[in-house]
Amino acid sequence: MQRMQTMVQWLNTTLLCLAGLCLMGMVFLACSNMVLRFFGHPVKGTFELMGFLGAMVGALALSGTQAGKGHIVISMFQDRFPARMRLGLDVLTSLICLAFFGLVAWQTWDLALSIREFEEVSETLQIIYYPFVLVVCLGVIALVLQIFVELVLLVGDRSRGGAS
Amino acid sequence: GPITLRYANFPPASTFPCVQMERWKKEVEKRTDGQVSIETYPGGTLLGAKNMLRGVMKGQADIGCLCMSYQPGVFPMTTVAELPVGFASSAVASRVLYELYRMHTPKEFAKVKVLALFTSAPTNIMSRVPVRSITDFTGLELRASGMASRVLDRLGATPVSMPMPETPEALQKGLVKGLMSSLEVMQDMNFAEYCPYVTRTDFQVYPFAVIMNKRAFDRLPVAVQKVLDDLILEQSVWTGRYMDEHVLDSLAWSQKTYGVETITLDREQHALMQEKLAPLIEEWKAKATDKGVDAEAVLADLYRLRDTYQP
Amino acid sequence: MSLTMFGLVGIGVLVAMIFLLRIPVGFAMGIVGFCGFWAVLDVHAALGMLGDETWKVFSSYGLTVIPLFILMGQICFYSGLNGRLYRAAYAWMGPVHGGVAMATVLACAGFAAISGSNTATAATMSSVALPQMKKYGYDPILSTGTVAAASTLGAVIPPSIVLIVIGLQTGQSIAALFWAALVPGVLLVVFFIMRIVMVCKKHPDLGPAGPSTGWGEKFRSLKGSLEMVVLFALVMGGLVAGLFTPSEAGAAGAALALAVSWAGGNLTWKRLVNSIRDTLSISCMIMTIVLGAVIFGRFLAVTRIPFTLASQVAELAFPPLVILGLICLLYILGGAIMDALALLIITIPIFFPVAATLGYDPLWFAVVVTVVTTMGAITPPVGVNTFIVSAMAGDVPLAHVFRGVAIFLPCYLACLALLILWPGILNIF
Ligand code: NA
Ligand code: NA
Repeated sequence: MQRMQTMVQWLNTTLLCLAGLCLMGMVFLACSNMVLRFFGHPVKGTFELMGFLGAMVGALALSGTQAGKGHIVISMFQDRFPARMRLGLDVLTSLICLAFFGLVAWQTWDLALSIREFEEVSETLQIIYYPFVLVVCLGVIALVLQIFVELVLLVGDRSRGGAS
Repeated sequence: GPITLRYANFPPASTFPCVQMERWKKEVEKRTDGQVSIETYPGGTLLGAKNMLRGVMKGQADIGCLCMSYQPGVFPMTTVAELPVGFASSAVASRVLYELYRMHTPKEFAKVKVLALFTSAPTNIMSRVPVRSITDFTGLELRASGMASRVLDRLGATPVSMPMPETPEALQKGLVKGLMSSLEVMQDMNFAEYCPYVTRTDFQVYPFAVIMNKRAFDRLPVAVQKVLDDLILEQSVWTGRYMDEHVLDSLAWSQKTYGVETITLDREQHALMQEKLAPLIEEWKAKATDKGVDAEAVLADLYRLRDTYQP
Repeated sequence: MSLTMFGLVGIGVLVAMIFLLRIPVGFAMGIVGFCGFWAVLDVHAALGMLGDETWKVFSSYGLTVIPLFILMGQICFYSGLNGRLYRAAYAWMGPVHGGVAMATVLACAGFAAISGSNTATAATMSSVALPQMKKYGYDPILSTGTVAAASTLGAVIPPSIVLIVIGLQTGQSIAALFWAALVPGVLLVVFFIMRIVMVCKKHPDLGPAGPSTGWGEKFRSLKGSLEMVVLFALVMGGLVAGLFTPSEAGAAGAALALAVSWAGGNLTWKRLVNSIRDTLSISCMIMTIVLGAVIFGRFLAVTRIPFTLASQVAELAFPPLVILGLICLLYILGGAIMDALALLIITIPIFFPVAATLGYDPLWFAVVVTVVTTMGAITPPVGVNTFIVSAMAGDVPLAHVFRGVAIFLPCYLACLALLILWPGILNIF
């Protein structure tokens, strides 16, 4: 388990770095397009490339954001629940999220395969774009792993708490 | 109870793909004596423009209306209809598309049942400054998307891609000088207010297909299948005619309400443009051949059919 | 079960999940939307929708505006640009009773003018302003209340993530929304300051006067805030003039902020990495909420609740103003228990058709709704801003922050009344 935790941490950091690169890429691309457009030579396909980069930014940051507790949670009533019930609910939450994002990962994977099978290309640049969908799938898989690690830690906490 | 079929469509309910959808629903329900009931989902509530084919194949909807131009690469044969091949009306283009489909049974629709084929009205120039000859295109910034922007590119204009809802404001501010689209938007989106000139170029059309999940079709009683089969040609032609009438109404309204001037180009100008646009057709040929389409034969049939229906 | 019932049950389950489970709001919306879609249609439809929407939302060009504007705000924060803005405001207003609180309002407005989110403004301004006010002996009720209330300006004064999302959802021009929202933004700033004057006149010990500053110091401090003013003017100017799209405005703003802070020697590698890391986290959080809301919206659409509601409300015999009042009340109540952005995203597809049927200008309606829900960010029991300020203040209990916020609620009501009685006020700029 320890090894898996370290591995997921490493994965989160790596994906965050990639997301950061994509973010800077967006700034650079949009600015170059503005400057070049001013001189009459806009970068062809800026819109769709920005969209693809944006997808990378959002998806690759999913697991890192989850690990850093960056998703808004409303926890005001839960604090008043007895500890046992709170733990039960937290385990339930993790299981639901695990199932949901498992489905999301499966379906984005399936979508990528369909796009490849249809030989669909992007609208302006006419490039093959299913690999971008696969990257989104990768981001969701990392999120699933992160939620799984959190779940194991949660349950582990209880068993340790019970022993003492 | 009746068999319920879910029909997904992507543009807003007021647009022509949805108008034909409602007409089809009415006809089918009438002709099957209420044996079939159609639930319509306009505006992308069930499936969007880019996932219609996949969604219908997977059974997310039983029936879906898609535009072949929205998924480049997926419809190598039927996208022949979006080329600048000189269709003057949606009625003719729709009929030709249908006949081409019957003659060549394209592989791209092999996994679904086709229920209707039609096209948009031809695209034209709506602008703030008059476009009277090919030289007026030089450097002119026009809002366009897909094939329309490639046409403009070839003519020396500057195609600008932006969402349709942002276009009126961009026109007001002079960010774009006009747009290239089919002419019903003059009234439907009130572009007549910003564009005093319409240049009849009839460059190209956008092909649409109504498709149905094969399993869902096979499950239907034979009598119902026959009703749907009998409707294919009728619905395709009806939609083409409806589209053309709608465009005429829109133009008449624009003339009356805003005094919009319609510019027609002479034969010489048309020939000049056709010459510049020829490479687009060659490009299509290369790509279609690459995907196993007999491009020469398809094009030859297209021109022959066009001349048959468009005297 | 009728479709409407399905929809209502779905909304009920969503609210229960958000409050009973410690589940992120965006996740909950996605899960309930997915299950609801499945219940109304079937599992194929629901699964296909999941994959399609995930890709479509994440790859949408419209949403790229969010990380770019957030990056601009974070770079300004980490390189200390807004800290200098604060010092300028303080140099001018510190010596008056409640002056530091007034300076905080102005500094919040300034930061709001480069930041797109009220939560980011709350977090930032808490760390900047609360220690200062503590140092000058301000009562924590006034100091935390001021920061919590004034940081809501982040969502009203452009750029605003809330307005961007409304624009994307309703197909309106983001630039036009930004321009119109400047009016309530300025009104709120004026009202907040007036309110502080009134309160400090009555209870001077809430905000003791600070040491006086000389004119030289006052004017020198202005120099430090110049960059922010120029940045805001360039970004808003280019956007409103239509020189670039909202995403490009965000990118240009981020690049300018980078250039300015690098030229000023305020940008270290560590600060850059921090601002990128925060930007990723905040934008990912927002994009997930948008995704969840889109999935939930797809469920609502197949239950046809928005259309049913719009047609039923249109048939009510009440005058439009009464219906508008009811909608506002709903938003205040909704805003009282939920995060503003999430609430807006859920309800906009429901209420925009209603407002359109009643004949209200969509631009005006968008601005009113933004002001109303933003107010929800500080009203009990759930006020995101209040929570953040209370957490950042450390030793101030939540109840005190809510008491402080109560001082400023009349300002919001006055602003709303003005907007409703005089809709044309949105066009004065
Ligand atoms: Na703001
Ligand atoms: Na609240």
